[in-house]
Amino acid sequence: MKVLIVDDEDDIRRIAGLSLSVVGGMQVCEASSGAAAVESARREAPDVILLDMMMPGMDGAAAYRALREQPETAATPIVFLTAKTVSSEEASVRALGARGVLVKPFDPMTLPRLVRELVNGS
Amino acid sequence: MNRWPLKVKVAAGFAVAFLGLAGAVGIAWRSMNRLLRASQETAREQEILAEVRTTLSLLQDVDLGVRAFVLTGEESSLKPYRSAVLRLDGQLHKVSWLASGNRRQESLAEELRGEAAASVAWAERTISARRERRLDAARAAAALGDNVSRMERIRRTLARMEEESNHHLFARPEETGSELTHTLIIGLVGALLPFGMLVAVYWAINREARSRTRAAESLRNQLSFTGAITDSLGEGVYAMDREGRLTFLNRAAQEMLGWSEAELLGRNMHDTVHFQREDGTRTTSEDCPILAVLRTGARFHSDDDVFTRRDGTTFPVEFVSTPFLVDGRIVGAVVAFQHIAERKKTEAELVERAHQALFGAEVGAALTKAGTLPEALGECAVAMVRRLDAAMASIWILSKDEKILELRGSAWARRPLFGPDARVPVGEFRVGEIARDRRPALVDLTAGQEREDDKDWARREGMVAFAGYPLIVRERLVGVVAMFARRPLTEAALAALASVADEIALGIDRARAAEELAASESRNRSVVDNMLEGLLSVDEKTVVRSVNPAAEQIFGYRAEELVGRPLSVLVPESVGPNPLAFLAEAKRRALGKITRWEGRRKSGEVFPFELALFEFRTPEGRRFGGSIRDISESREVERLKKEFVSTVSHELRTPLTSIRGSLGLLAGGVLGKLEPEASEVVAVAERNVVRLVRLINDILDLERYDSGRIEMRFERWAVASIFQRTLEAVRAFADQEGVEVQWTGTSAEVWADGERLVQVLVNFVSNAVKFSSRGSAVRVSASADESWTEVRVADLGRGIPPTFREAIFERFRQVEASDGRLRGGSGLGLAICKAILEQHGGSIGVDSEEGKGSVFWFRVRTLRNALEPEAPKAELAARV
Repeated sequence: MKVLIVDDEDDIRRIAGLSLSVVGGMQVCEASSGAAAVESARREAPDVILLDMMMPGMDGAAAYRALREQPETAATPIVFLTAKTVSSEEASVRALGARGVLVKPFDPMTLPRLVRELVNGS
Repeated sequence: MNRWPLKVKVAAGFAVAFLGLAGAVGIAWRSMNRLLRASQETAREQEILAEVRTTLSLLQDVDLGVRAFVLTGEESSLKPYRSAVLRLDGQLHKVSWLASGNRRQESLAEELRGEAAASVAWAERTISARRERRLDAARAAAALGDNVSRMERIRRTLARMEEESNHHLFARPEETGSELTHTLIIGLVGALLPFGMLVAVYWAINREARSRTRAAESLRNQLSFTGAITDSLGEGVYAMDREGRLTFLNRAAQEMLGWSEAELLGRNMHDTVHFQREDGTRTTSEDCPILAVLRTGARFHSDDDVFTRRDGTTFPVEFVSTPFLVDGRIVGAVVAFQHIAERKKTEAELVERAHQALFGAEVGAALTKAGTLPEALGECAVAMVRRLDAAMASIWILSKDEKILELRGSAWARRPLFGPDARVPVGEFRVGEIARDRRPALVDLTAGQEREDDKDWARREGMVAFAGYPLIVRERLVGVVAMFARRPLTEAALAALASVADEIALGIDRARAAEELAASESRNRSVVDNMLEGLLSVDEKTVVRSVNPAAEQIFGYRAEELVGRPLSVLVPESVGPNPLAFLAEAKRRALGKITRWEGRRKSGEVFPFELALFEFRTPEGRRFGGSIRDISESREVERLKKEFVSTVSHELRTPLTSIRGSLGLLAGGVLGKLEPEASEVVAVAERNVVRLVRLINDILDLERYDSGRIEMRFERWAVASIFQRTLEAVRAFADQEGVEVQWTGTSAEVWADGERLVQVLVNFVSNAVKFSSRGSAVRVSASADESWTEVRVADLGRGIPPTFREAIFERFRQVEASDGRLRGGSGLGLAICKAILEQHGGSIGVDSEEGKGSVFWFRVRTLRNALEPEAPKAELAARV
């Protein structure tokens, strides 16, 4: 399974990447911004995109819309990563039609399982 | 007819009758005289006639005697002659006498007399001649012839006399007849007139008598009636006739006088009841003013006299003697009287009462009209001096600490003996004692009761009595009213003080209340003027009636620019031109609540504000008040805060995510196996990071509940499904702790934000598991009635001390400070649970017995049917 991790924080990308690759045995690619994520997703064609909500420039919601508009990624499952700052955030995310929401900070040991479950729709 | 009294009528009647009779008698007398005279004259005429015939007869006897002697010569034949001559002279005198008064008869009688004398002379001569025989028969015969003519003349004279008498005689009966008719008529009239008059007088007297009888009857009837009334009034009434004799005596009078009516009827009342003065001296009928009424007809009133009882004792009376008139004439008098001893008493009481009323009125007027309390109390004291005849009056007010009486109003009949600012400690002096005992006092200062403290001046000033009364309002003493007098005081003085004490006390209370009100108004005014929130009131037509300085500042208008103008100037134009609709909307939405609105400043700037609308009434009508908070700034603050929370949250979470992830990977051993010590340290670090994250989450959650910014998603939830989710959340933890969780469900449904209730229940169960010993059980159960559904989580843990049962729902409150560290709680869980239940309009609590376990419970509304219940909806609406 190929996962695109989109987050402006390098450390988080790194930890999430380690978790997914080492613990989950997944193939990981990264993007540090919304715009990069759109480009990267088109190029890499991941099985799932982990998208951070709060990013400078194009934020999660904007990136989500851009990804959906891009034919190559229109059907790619997207799971949001959120710092759960505002309760309305989660609702708005769900309203966008995302596959799921994962809350930061996450447990690196269970993250791969959660992602897999969301992607597989279980 | 009635203008003349009977006496005059009768007198006049008799006078007329007498005059009539006298006139008739006079006229009859005159007529009788005339008749008598006429009859005398008739008799004389007839006598003359008779005497004339007798004279003629005598003269014929003379003539015949002579002739017979001449012829015969015999002396015997001279016998008739001699008899006739003897009578003739007297006869002629008689005729002359009878003829006197009638000149014609007189002259005829004289003529007759001459002829008779001549005839007698002839006869003598002839007789003597015959005797001497100088005469023969022839000659004698010739001589006889001489006398024939004489006789003839005599006959003629007598015939004329006869004729004259007959003339008189025949003329008189005619005259006498008419005279007689007159006399008869006059006599008849003279007899009938008095008779008529006597009949008239009899009629008048009879009528008078009947009228008197009727009047007396009517008087008695009236008096009986009056008597019946006056009996009940206790007024004595008696009536007298014209002579002062009793004709009526009512029962009250009988009782007062000691006589019965029957005993006194017909008796002279003056002599019976009114004959003596109070000192026993006699009064005469002539001087009696009651009897004078019968003479003068003038009503007489007296309140200074006495009547005498049957037993001779007297009693003071007031009486009115009123003449009783019939047809304008006094026929008697009615005397109404009262025993004045009681009346005097009643009058004195009335005077006293009037005095008190006046006193009360003056006090009332003083209390209502005077400007300030001391002025009012001063006037009250003046009223006491004036109306209660006090030498000194004082009104004392109890100080706020209730220890001192302060003189607030005083008045002196003469010069003041102490100043207007006197102070007396409660319990000291007379007024202080009244204040302490709360009892009125009446003291006779001459009876040796005078106190040391007032003896000197009271004696010096000639004070003989003291009276004082406590002033009490609603069982609270407010002061004392007191007075000194130079005359003895009775209970009446206390009664008078009592009658005004309440009023004065109320006046003091009112004045104090007014002072407090003024102070409170002043306070309120300064609060309103200095408060940060704008205050604005409008009337029902939405005209602005008042604004406070804060409102001036918020809207940018000065008060005088706003007051009187319509509210619409403060409302954005977008709201519409109808301020009444605006007010109606505001009333519907904002009355008794805090709601957000938009306003318009003078500059035209539209700004948000919070409005709390309230309604109040003034004498001018209904008003709406708005408390206005300009939230244009607080909105900004709120936005900044939100941003801050968001940022902090994000900024904290980002590094925490990295740390948590790193430690997690390390602890998970996926990056290589750690030494046991290293592994332990990493585990500690990870556990604490997790705790830190939870703390941050809880703080954020609580902040949202506090600010009301949490969004509740109310839905229909089955209790069973809340249990299921909770079970999923806690199963692993319970298993790990070795605690069994037993679930007893219910079919009830609730109207709730299920996720939040799951959060609460997870908190409860987690806590229960945490505090349960391994191998024990936690029981989760639910029960529901029509209104409420209650969920209970029972453990067999250590329990919660009573002092903590409320506190554990507060922030960072745990039964033991170490709990947080040992059990990994933030200390905010139950506070959040409480906030969630508050959002539901439900309740939360714990029942616990120390050492035996706890039962945590919460209650939310039961959904009775598929429809959404009203109450939670309203709650929701109120908070958005």
